[in-house]
Amino acid sequence: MSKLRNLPALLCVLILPQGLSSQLPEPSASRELMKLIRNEKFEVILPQVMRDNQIDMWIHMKGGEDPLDFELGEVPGAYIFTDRGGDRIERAVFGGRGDEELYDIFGAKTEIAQFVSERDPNRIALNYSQENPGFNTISDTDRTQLLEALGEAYRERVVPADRLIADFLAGRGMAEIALYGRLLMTSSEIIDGEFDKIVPGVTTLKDLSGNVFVRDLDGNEENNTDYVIQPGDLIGLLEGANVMDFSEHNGGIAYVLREGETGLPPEIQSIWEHALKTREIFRQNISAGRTGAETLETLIGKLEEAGYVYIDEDRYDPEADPVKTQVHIDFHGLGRIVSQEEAPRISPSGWGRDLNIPLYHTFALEYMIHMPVPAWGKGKHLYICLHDGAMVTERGLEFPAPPAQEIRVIR
Amino acid sequence: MKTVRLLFVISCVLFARGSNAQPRYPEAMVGISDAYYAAFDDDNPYATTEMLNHIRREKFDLVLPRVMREREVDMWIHVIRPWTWSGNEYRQLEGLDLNYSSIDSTDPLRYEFGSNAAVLIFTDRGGDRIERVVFEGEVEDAGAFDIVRGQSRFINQENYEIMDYVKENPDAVPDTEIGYRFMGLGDFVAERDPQKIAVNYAEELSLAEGSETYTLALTDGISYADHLQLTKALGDKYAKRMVSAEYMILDYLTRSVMAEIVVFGGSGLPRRARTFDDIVPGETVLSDVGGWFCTREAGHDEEAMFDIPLQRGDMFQEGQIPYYLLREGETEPPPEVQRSWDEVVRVRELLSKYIKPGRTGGETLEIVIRKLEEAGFAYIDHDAFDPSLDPEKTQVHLDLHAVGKGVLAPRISPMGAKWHWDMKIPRFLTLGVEYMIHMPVPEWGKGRHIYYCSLHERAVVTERGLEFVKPPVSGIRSVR
Repeated sequence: MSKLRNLPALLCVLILPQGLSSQLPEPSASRELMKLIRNEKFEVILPQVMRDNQIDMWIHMKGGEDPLDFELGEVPGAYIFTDRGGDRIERAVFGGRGDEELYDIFGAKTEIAQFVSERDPNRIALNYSQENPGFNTISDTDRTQLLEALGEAYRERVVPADRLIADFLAGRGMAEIALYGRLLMTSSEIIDGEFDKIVPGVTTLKDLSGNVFVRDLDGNEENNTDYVIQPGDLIGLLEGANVMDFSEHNGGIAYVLREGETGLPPEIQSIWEHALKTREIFRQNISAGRTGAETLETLIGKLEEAGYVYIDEDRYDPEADPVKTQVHIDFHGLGRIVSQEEAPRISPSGWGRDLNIPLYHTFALEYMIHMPVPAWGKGKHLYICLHDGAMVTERGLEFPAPPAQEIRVIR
Repeated sequence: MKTVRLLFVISCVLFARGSNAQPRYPEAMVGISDAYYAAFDDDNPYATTEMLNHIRREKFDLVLPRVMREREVDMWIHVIRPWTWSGNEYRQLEGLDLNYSSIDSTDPLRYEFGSNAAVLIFTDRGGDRIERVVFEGEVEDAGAFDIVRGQSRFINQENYEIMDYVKENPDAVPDTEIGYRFMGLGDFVAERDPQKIAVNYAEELSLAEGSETYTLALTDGISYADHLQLTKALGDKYAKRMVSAEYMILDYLTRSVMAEIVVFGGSGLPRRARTFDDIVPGETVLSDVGGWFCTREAGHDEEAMFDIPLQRGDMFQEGQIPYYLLREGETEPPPEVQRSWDEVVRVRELLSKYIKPGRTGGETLEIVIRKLEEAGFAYIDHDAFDPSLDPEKTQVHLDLHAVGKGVLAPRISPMGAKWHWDMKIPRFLTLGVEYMIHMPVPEWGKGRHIYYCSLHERAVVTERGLEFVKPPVSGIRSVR
């Protein structure tokens, strides 16, 4: 269960001011950088995803707001991409305007039928989906008119573009990865700044920006409420950084020392060690090419081999072995606002579970540890949520920016 | 070429002095602007201590096992010689809020290991990771290592420790004080029983020619004296197993983890374009603005041009950006000038397509030359217009090389040491995309041409080709 599934928290993460007391500069998106990222997606991602999905032509009918506004441009029109062999995909816009440096052909919508028949594609992806409403973006009118214009021969070749679009959104060029890493660094800095503000016994969760939560030993959660932070609290804080369509959020954990404590008590140290041990298990077992669901199965097996209990909800299971630490996983997409949910996902839930994890997939290594402390009573447990920006390369899992290094101590 | 680079440096210095608007960030480490320019320099706010530590650990986890196993090395002993760093310089730099304050060493791996004086030992003991030991010395990031034994008690030879030790251990005194750093190393190595021990000395590579950093040539690291001491400490059995680590060191330096790509992507801050509103045609000379003339004649001598006034219709380059001085009545550069930029972009696109990992720099150069010629360009192996070539063809000179790590290799260029070209391009190589176009403009007269130098545009090599991590220059700026 993603810690950011609820809308208010998401809005907090996306809208709150960035760069408070910052050493790092506020993230910026120059026109040149955005153009570079857009161009790289056309140059290096588009050919790959069209071929992976065995699509000869992709017709994207844009009306209003669309998940591909950044990639294609915001102007309504028919965007048609054709694989004519070679290294690149032909890019055309009909009935709309586009960047002349990015698109090869411009025309009127009335020319579409002839354009398609000249290219004679075998499989035509169109922007509708029977599985994911987020990608069902073509209007009824546009769909009817387009299919009519294409005629029977080509109409039968039309397939949903949802998976192609998901793959296209999930693909990352190096400039985008570098930006992702910079945003991760920025959000880590913001999280540190928020922890700096905590005065035990005074500061409430809602005084802090981001998604801030504390769970008691029975698993009851206070989340962005007026709960006053107390000594002994283990605080989770998720905060993001974004620039235009690019967004990520990161997590931090802090512990408030009790009177007389000078460092983390053994139980808190122990749950952190579980966090590191499980991080290493994930690191060793995530690679490109498998689906999210397949990867999850692998990870569950490895966790259990290592003596953990996997739980498919972010809730302590009182029926599980009381000495085993429980782990929940939700490794969801990260880096683009629109592709956090509709992207490959290593999680017990979500449409993206069945998508292949592409090379250079950027995602949140989000997992929750519920560690029983039998000495404190039956069912009593500690809880932390790790949320680090990660990605997949040929070498496996990599962290483009430092993941959480410790449980921060607050005196 | 060298002139161009020198001019670039001068213009950067002049510009930096004149600019108050840009923030300056703590330098990542002493001298890094010179050593690691284009990545970890003082204009890069993302080269934080935390990030540099993170990169070190990622490289230990992800790169170190691979390079050692590919070279079939069981143990890597890297000796960063002490007493070579400048205490005076360190004291001058103290208190300057530098990210790292103690790595003023000339060792090419001083950042990778975070030390300016140490005996480091990496052992492949099986499994996913390599054992990391600071056998002697201090490091900035002790948490990155499994064992840090610390500095030898005898490293500071001004004190009483050696005197006391000699009194207490008359039969176990090294021949020379240099040997104290290796005490116990023989047993440490024997316990691990490596078959092949790589040590940081050079047998074949002219490492000093491996850097473009002016102030910091690569070195082969271990001194002759240290080598003798190490040999003695290892004993005959293990000393015979020593091999040069030179190729493995290059592998290690040139393979980037993703966090390095993030830092290499750099500030992402807008390029420092200038308006040059204060140029007075016919009065302002080139040296007032920095850079070099792009509108040239055959036999152009840049050094003779410093005091030549800029005229309307001239094009010059300052930093990476080309500027054109509009003539009266012009609202944009004339077609021939704009065509020169089209040529710059065509070459850039061609390079993006044909530079891939796995081939050597030399093999890549051959391919790129062929593709350039097929595309109608003329390749030149000197960065000087060749008046004997077809006047319809734009001439292209190439010097693409590794940047960001203080190493030039692998290099796609006719220049440099042979090993620069022989080195294979690794995946995620951080590449300075440096090439020069000389486009003849016959209508301006015989030999007259437009020159542009693409100077270290930042790209990363992937299986998909060359991917830029920071926007390359997008066009010629007009100056009214």
